[in-house]
Amino acid sequence: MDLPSLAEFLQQIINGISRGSVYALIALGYTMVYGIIELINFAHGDIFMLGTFTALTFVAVFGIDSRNSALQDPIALIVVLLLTFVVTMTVTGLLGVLIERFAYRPLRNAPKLAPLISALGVSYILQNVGQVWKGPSNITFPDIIPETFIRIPIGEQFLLIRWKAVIIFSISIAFMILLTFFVQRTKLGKAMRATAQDKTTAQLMGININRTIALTFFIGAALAGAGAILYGMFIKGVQFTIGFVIGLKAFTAAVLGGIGNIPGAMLGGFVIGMVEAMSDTFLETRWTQAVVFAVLILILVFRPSGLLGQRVAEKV
Amino acid sequence: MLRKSSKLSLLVASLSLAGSIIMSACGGPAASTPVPTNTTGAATDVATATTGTTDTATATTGTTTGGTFEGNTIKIGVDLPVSGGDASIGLPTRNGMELAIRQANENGGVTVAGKTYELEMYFLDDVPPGGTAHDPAQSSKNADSFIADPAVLAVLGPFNSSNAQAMMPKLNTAGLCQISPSNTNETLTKPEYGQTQNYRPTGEVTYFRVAATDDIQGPAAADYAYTELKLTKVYVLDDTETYGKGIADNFKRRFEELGGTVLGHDGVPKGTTDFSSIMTKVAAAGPDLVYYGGTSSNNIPLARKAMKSSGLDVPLMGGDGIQDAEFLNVAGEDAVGSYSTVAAVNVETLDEAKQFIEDYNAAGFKEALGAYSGPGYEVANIAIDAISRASEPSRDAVCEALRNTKDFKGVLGTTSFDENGDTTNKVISFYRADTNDAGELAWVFVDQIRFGEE
Amino acid sequence: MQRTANSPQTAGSGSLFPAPKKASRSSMIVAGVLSVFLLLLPVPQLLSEAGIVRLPIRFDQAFLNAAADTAAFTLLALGLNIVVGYAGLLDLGYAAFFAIGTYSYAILASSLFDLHVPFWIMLIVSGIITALFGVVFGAPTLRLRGDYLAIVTLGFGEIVPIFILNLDQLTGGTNGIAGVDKPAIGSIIIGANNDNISFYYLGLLLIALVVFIINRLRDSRMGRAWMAIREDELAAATMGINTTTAKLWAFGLGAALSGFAGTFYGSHLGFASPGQFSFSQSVLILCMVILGGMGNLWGVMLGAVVIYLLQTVVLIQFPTWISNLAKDTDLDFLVNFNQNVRLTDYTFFIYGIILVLFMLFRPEGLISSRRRKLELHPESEKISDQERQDLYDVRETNQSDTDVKGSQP
Repeated sequence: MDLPSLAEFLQQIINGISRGSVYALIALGYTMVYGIIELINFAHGDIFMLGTFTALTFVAVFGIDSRNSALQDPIALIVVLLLTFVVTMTVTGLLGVLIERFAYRPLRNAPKLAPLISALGVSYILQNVGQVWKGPSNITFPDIIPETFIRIPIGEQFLLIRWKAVIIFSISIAFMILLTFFVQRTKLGKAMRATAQDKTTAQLMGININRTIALTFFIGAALAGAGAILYGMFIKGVQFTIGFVIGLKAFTAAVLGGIGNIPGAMLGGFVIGMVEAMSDTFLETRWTQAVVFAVLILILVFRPSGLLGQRVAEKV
Repeated sequence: MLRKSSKLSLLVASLSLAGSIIMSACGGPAASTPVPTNTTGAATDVATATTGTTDTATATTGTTTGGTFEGNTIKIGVDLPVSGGDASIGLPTRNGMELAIRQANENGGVTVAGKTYELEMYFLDDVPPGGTAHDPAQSSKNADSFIADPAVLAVLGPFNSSNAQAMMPKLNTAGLCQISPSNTNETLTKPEYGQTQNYRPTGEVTYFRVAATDDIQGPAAADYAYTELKLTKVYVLDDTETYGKGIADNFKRRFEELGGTVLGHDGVPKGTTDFSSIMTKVAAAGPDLVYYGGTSSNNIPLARKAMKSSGLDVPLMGGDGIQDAEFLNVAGEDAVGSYSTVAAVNVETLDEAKQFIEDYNAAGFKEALGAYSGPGYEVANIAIDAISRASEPSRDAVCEALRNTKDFKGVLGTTSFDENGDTTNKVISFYRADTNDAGELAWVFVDQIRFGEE
Repeated sequence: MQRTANSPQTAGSGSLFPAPKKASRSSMIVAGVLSVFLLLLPVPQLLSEAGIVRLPIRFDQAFLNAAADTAAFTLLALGLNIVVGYAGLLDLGYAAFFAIGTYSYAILASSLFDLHVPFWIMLIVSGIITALFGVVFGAPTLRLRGDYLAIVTLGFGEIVPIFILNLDQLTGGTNGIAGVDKPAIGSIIIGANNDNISFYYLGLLLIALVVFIINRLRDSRMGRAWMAIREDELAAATMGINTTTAKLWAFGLGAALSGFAGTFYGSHLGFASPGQFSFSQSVLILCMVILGGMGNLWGVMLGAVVIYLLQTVVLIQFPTWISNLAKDTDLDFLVNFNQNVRLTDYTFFIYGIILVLFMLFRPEGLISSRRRKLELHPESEKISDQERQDLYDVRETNQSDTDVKGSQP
């Protein structure tokens, strides 16, 4: 087998980082929810999927659809983009809160498998909602930002960086910094950390744990909404089935980084993106999925605490 | 409680055992018949076994009259994918079949052995409930349903070769004949590929098709790319399905024979959505053509988009699996510059088909004429023709008539079936995704090649 | 009250515990009626084939075909019940074992390699192969906590079909394996000519056998160990149960049953393809277990029947039934119901609703296992009752056995 050239290799690293950015944003939601109520929120991937549909529907209001993509006026472009983020993130965030309220909260004291199965059920319901809403086949996600490239010559070849990749990477890093700041420095963040540590004591300290958990779901789901817009712009096509696999990969990323750990989830996202890109390059695409899930299994078996997580004794 | 329930399960066990023994000893007519080596016998047996199970629409006599059935409606089973990503290619095909059956009924139905019957389409989707694309297991179940209904004398479909693999052995042992408008995988019918004993366990041909096989379609595409488009370096991808991998392998073989360079061949499983790294890999190899074997429902339109955004500005070529509205809708403007082949004549070029196209457009279908509407219409008419020529309204007689189909003049030209059930009317047509005269993105017909009798 | 549970008769007659006795008698009656019903199910079809009666409704080979498939899924649900219902290990990749079982049979009993190992031998061989996979996969992963285990099994469930697809030398790859052998007794081939009745009875027979085995197993030392682990793993370990071994057994036996089911399913369908064993298949089986009642044999079987027939018959036929009914009763606005409504579009929605609502309101399922029910309603007042009862809730007791559950004073 031929080894890839330097330019191709670098190009694949860029591909890995760009798709990893999307995984990272979704992984944040998994990691926060798991951190606070120890629930693997299966529905998270499908919230992400509904996020792509929301964004798609919203930009159509501004006449951006598969035929008329990319606004020319830069100011209009930025305004529309910002609005899309605000609307999509609010919608998915509220959806997250709603799901927590009706499907998870009543089960907070039930055996651990009960909310997990409930989450699985919600995931199926959301998938079906997506299917009925936009139909079962692929739909084009319009270019909100025009597709332009940066060309960097390497030897005789070019390294081709999509402007979109740069934007996606910066946005996801920005979100991570904001989130870290929020969790570490604000009062609400402190309440979240306290709830995660010990719900009863947190309650005794005057923290409204229901509200805190709802807030966690809101932020996690809103980040999935942000990831949804980035995904749509990058892949350019969405379907109601995408939530499951992408959610699973994002979950792998969260576990890889150390579940409950915010920088860890980001790191995990980039690593998974990179693993995929490398598998596509050195193996064949038909093995890529198996490679990712093998990574998941190996990490859970050999280092369940993840790359950045700390080994903590399990509470019994 | 324990003891009791153990006893209970013992009881159930022994009861069912007893039941099975009774069943296999004296029970149902077909319950204990070994597979006969003689097909005719098998077909008659099954038809006999299922006589009397028609639904309320057809009168049940319950008598066993040598495989014929008594009723006023002959059903034609149809198995096609009409939901999910396959809807855009499945529905126009079904419309073609429906038109043929409707016209036959308007002309007074069919007359078999002196009695006139009405025709009815018994349609089953092969996209499973909640699924997004065709599924062989669903086709296998559909085959059971067709076999179970004695009023079904012929089956049309399936659309995809992988589904045909699942249906063929069942319909074959039941002696129920099927005609596919679009299956192209060559291993289904040609004994030289060493698979046919699985698909026709009885040895008798019960499967027919009007599309040219992939060992013609793939190489024809290679010829076209190499000699007409003057492209010499190709990267081959496939969607890892029967059809996609088969046609890609055939393309590759012929392209190398012609002297072209195949830079690589990767399998990209269905469900893949991010094609950026695979397209980077392809781009790095520097091809001047990407050949992609597979169907639009397996995300090839997204791959086309990823080609553009990976700076890979070369044509994409595929088989009939991408010649549909789905590809154009999803890939949008990026689709321009893609090529596809179809294993059937473009009916719009034939004088014989003018009437059909008019009728289709007048019939009020929601979907526009598709690449396989014509073949769908054709297979339905071939089946109706065979039923009307049959000596009696039985599956056997219809099969016999089908095997003897000779010089059937229809919208695809003149069709006969060879000893494997393949059509002798082999045409590959070529299309390019481009803006048509009406200014819309469409698959524009460019050329077609007729292959002579072998 | 002393440990009257020593002998089942006294356990039933102890006046303090009338409930179990009642439940068992009524469930006996239900089970008996059910068995007779199941045995007689194909009779109308046979009679009509013989020309004796005319059936008013459509009740034919296609229906019996679905019934035979239901038998396969019942076997699967029974197997998953060992893992989820008894041992409390959430397995989200059960379809992977089903795939391995089906492919074991398809590879060894088809013309792919021209091997034709008899069905009856393959029932056991597939079971052993899948059990081996279960143990090999389970050994390193079963020590993980519940939700991590769920994810690991899910990953396994995703990997297996990919391997089946890609190892095309062994599995026929994307083409799948066609022409899988039918079971044969001597020269008599079961299900020849696509006859489903004998397959249906074969399925019933296998189910009866499996139910018998599981019933014995549940009350064995191993079975009690599983339930102890499910309820409190730490406490179980403290009581001297080797939790790793017990879990491995549950996993291995569950897998073995799917090999059993796979062999049956493969021979009935006559075809194996990699697309049949996706995640949604795992969830389908899980739905059956949960709907019916985790840990309860009859419940699980009922769940399998309800869900599978819902999917293959009801959702598809219901709009047609409505339309036909409307035609007969002149309800014009409903005549086109079958053209306007496609219930199959809502399959996932229905499964999702089942999972969520049952978790919220009836986690013990339709037919509940008494113990499981109390466990799943921790807020209920009966919890103290449960603890008290647990002292005596040992069915088949051998005094020399180390008692897993009830040795606290």
